[in-house]
Parts: sequence; C-alpha cells; structure tokens
Amino acid sequence: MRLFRAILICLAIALAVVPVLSLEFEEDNEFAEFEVADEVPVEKPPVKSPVEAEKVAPPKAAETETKTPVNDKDADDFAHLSEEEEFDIEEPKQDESEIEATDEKKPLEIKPLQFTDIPNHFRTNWSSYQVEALALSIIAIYMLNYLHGRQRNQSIANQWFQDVEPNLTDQFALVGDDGTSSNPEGGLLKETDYSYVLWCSGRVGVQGLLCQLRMIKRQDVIGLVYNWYKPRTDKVTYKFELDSGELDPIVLVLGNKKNVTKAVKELADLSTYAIERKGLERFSLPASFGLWAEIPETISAVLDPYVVNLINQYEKYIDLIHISDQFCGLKLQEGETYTRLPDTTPSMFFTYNIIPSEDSGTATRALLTLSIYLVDKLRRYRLSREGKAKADKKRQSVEESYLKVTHQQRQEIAQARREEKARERKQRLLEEEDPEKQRRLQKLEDKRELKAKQPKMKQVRMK
Amino acid sequence: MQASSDPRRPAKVIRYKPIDPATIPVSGEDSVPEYMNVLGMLFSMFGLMMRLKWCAFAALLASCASFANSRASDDTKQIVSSFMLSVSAIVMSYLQNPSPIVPPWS
Repeated sequence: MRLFRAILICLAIALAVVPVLSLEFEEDNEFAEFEVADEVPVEKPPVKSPVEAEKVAPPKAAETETKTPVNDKDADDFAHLSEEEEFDIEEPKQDESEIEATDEKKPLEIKPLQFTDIPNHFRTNWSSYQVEALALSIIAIYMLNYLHGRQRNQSIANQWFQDVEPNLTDQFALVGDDGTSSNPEGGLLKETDYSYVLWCSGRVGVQGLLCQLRMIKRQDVIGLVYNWYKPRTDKVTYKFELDSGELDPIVLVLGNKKNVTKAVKELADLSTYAIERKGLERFSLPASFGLWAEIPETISAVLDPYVVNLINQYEKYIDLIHISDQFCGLKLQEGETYTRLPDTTPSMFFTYNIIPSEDSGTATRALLTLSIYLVDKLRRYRLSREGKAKADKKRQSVEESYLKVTHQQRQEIAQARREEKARERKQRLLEEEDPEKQRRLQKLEDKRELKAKQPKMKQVRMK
Repeated sequence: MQASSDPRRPAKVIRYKPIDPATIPVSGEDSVPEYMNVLGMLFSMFGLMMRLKWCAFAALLASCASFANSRASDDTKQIVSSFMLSVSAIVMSYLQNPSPIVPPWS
C-alpha cells in the first residue's frame, strides 16, 4: 500500500507537470503553421477550379486512408492535398493541367504539408472501434460479475441466517438490531457486499453477541483474482462480550495453527499472557491445531470430551477459538505506548469457516451450540487457588509495568513544569532592580529555601 | 447443558452500536474503495488533460471497482460523482478527437 501511494503521488505530479510542457510545444507548432501558410494560398485559387472536377474522382479511388468528401469545402482541401500526394500518378493523365501543376509543384514541394486526418463519422465505421468495444465489454463483464457475486454472497448470508436464527432466538431476547431506529429492528445487516453483521443481546451473563460474516469478494473481479491467488473461505465470527466478572482469568486460543500464530502476533492480550502448549495428542486434538494458553489447567477445563468430539468431527470448519478475560484489541505498533491502562472486556471469539457442502447447515448449528455451551460452561468455571494466584500475579505485574511507564512520563512532565517555574522566577529577579522590589527578591529566595526543605516533610505526611 | 431455564433476559438488551467509520483508522485491506476512487479521479483528469482515451476508460473501470467495494455507510454522492467524471472524460476525449484508438494488433 505504501508503494501504491507513492505511485499515486508520482502520477499526480506528472499530471501537473506534463500539460505545462505540452502547451509550450503546441504553441511553437501553431506559430510554425502560420509562418509557412502565407506563401501558398495566393497561387492556389485560380488553379483549383479546372483541376478540381477531374482530380476529385481519381483521388477518391486512390486514397489509402478513409476520407469521405463531405461537402465542397472539404472536397477542395482534399483535392488540393491529394493533388500533391497523387501528383506522380496523375501527371501523365492530365495534360491540360500539367503546366499549372508544374508551376504549383515547386512552391508546394518546398512547404512540408502536414495532413490532419479528418476522421469518419461514428456511424459509418463502427468496425474500426475495436479497442473501445473491448474496453466496454470489459466493463460490462465487470458489472455482470458484480451482480452475480453480490447475489451469491447474499444467498450464502441468508442461508446462514436461516440456519442459526432458531437457535439464537432461543438464547437471546433481541436478535438483529440496526442500531439506529427507535425500536430494535432488522435482522442481518449488510455492511458491504461481502460482509454482514448480526447483533444479538439480552441474555444472562452476556452483554451481546456480534456475528460477523466475512466472505470472499465475489462481487469484485480483482477480489476474485486475489482469491484465486490466495484462497480463503467464507468465515463467520461469533464475538461474545461477557459481563465483567463473569469469566475467571482465562487466556486461551486454539485452532488452525497458522491462524493461531497470527492471532498471537496481532492481539495484545495473547502476546502478553499466552504461552504455547505442545503435545496436543494428549488432548486428542487434530494434528493441524495449535494451542496457546496462560494456565495449563484451563486447557482441560475447556477441552472436555464433548468439545473434543465436536472439534474432531468438524475440524475443517473450525478456524479459531479465542477465550480471554483481558481482551483489549490489537497489539500496539512498535514505538507506541499506552497513555493509560486499556479497557479490557471478557470476550470469547469463535471463528468458523462456511464451506458450502451438504452438511454445512448441521455444522453451522452444531458449532453455534458448541460456542454457547462453552460460554455457559466457562461462566461457571472457577480456577483452582494456585491457578488463580498465578493469574492474578501475572495481571498485577502487567499493570505495574504499565504504571511504571506512565509514572515515568508523569514525573518527567512534573519536572519540566517545575523547571519552567524556576526559570520564570529567575527572570523576574533579573528584571526587577527597584529597592522596593528587592524585598520581593528576598521573599522569593526565602520561599525557595522553604520549598527545598519542606518537600521531604510533606511526603512523609502523605504516606 | 442447561435446557430447562430460559437464558433470555429482555431487560438486559443493549442496543447495537455501529462502528463509526470516521473514528476507526482504516486498515489496508478495507481501504480499497478509497484507493479506487482516487485512482479513478486521477485517470479521468489525465484523460481529459492529455486527451488519452484509454485513461478515460481506465477511469470508468476504477469507478466501477470503487462502487463494487463500497460500504453501505458510504456516500452515494461520491460514487456517482466519480462515475460522472469518468463518463465526462470519455465523452470529452471523443468530442475532441472522434477517431478510434489505434489497436496494438493492427
């Protein structure tokens, strides 16, 4: 994308510069035409009329380029220009005009005539507009693909919604909200032609569920080409935002190895707390899965037989399962630091693939059931004392490190302020030289001494 | 799994807050329509000033791409104006010079 921006900027600069240059060039040409044109016109008119009638017929046949003599004026120009062009062929035929032609020859030969193509009218030669036809057909194909792709994506979204709606209406008081109308209404919301959103709310323990469908950009040819290059599947992400205090300190992520590693790199909470766990065979997880967790005992809590069974059954549908009580978004870029401790919400993310197949409907329903099962289970789950102590300790250390960084910043700011005030005082001292104000100088100096002595005392009192 | 008690709590309903696109920094993946918009405008200005017909057609394609990738929350005005600009570039190029583009295969 940076390269792209650079290219755009270069194009914009070129766009600004080139017209200026081209204008200058054209001006010279215009002047050149005027200079040379003066010599010839005087001689031409008397010669034209006897020659014209004879010349018009042969030049027509002998024309190499397609030019239609539309009216008399154009015919004159044509006859005159073509006369010069066809001169060698015409000379033996017309003896009458030979003398005039030879007289004309010399001045004509000196001046280098430049032909301007007078193009045909549109309607007379559609066949020559091949490139235009190609361009328009490309655009037509693009728009047809847009309509088809949009339709396809919409049908996938509707199919998914049909599969999950009964289950969701059982679990949530509100299924589908557009966020703007006075009464919560509306089902599936369309964000773009390839992504849809569904908001559910009104459940015990859960603030809300946001279902996001991200599909392949079928409506865009460029998107399709990109997908052919890097294939992806349609994905649905269930984001459960839990009430605070509902979830014990658990940070865990499991799923497709590639996605798990990517998530650990990108998300702040995973990169801070989660540790990679190996040897997943003992949990009976598929080989393609990866698992990162903060505390080992949570793994066995999450991976009970029911869950493991479903995971193995729908292995290709499961993309990522991320459970965290400290979710706060993406990791900050290098060089950036938090100015204050970020807000964390206990959240659970379940990302599943939507693969069109016979049992995709059952898979969708089963995986939604699995998600809700895990939500309810972990709401009730409590860590052991050791586990909890370890988790709390880790969280405290993270908090302290944040405070340290911010404390340093605050100290620096306070010191800078103090230094500025001291400078102001010194400036005033230097400026004031009246005897009356010398008392003030003394007072200021006394103040300073007091301040230098007292802070230690004050700090003791505060503690 | 609990099946007997109803987990729904109608009193606990929280309204959906659509993410305001103005506040969220646009990621690279999602900013395709903006790039296509700018590209379309650049091409149409190039086509108009330099009288390059293929630029005008490229501008039309770019504004189609911008339209295809647009979000529901996007202004229709911007997309319509980019379409109009590219169409005007094509029309102006052909008014000034109606001859067809010389194909490279001829």
